Parts: sequence; structure tokens; C-alpha cells
Amino acid sequence: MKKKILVKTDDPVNKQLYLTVTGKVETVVDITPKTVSLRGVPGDVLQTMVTITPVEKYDFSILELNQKFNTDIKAQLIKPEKDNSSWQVKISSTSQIADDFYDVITLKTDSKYKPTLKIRVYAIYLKKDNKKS
Amino acid sequence: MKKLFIILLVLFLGTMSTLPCSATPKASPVDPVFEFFPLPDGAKIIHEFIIRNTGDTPLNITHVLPP
Repeated sequence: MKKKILVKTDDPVNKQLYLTVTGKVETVVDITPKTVSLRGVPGDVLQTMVTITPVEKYDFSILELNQKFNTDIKAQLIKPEKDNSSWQVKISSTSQIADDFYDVITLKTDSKYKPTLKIRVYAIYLKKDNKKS
Repeated sequence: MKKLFIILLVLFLGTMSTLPCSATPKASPVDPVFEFFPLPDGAKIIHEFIIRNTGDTPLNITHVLPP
């Protein structure tokens, strides 16, 4: 990671100068995928799984799952099984009409560094005639 | 009287020449690069950058734009 801070002064020679912050940032968690995009036609049951894997050095537990909007998108938290450190979120959606749905899933954790994780979910239902193969 | 005036004028000009002709501030960052040890994503760190004024008049920092 390398970021620069711009400082402006009234020094005629150094009207602008840069301060640099640099260093290595270690990953705490791997979320796959970070954004969910589901597509289908009305009547389809669209679903997918999101996998959340804490890095061993910064291991944590997920305490609860919340959804921002009350849409036709449902989410369920699945705890890791034995010999597995990965948590999963099962996301599903159904609709009888052509429409777009959006929700944000927030996972509260006991991690000091990542107390909340967010997953954005899009579910798009196209009319059967417009469905792309 | 005329001699005295000339002497005073020479002394005055001599004094003027010892003053800086264009006094300005001069910004001198002490250490413009801060490298931190490896940190986990989400960790917070605090660091203070020092900018010294090595000029002749007060230095004003007019803007600080974070990345």
C-alpha cells in the first residue's frame, strides 16, 4: 500500500509537497464473491453461495446476519463444519414478475479489524423474450 | 551638512543591504515518507509528519488533501 498526502503551503518554492504513507497491509478475510449478481426469468429460483474464509492469523467468528432492505432476496448463514474454517452465506431469490432487486447483507463479526462485512446482492428477472442465453 | 547627509545615506543603504531582499517562508518536511510495519487490513495507525519552517517569515499550510 502506498498513498500520498498533498500539502499546500505559502512557500513560493514548495507551494505543493507530498507526504507518503507506505507499508504492507495483510488480508484478514477472503470473501468470494464479494458481490452477487443473479439473473433469471420470472418463476426461476436463483441461488448461490458466498464463502467467507478468515485468515488463520486473524481468525474470527460471524455473530449475526442482517439485511438492509426487505426484498425478495433471502440470506442464510451457515457455520463452518469440522476441519473447515469457511463460513457460508446461502443467497436465494424468487420472483413471479420481471423486476430488479437489490440488497446489502451485513455480517457482524467478533474481529477487531473487521467488525462488519458487507455483501451486495443483485437479482435481475428479465422477461422470457429478453433472456440472454 | 552635505557631508553628514552623504554619510547617513551611505550608512542607511549599508544597513538595508544586510536585510534579506525577499523574506519568505520555507517548508522543509523532516521525513516525508512514513513506512509502517505489516498491519492487518482494518487496523488503525497514527503518525505525525513534521514540516519545519526554515524560512524568514511564518509558514502557512493552506490545504491538506488526504489520498
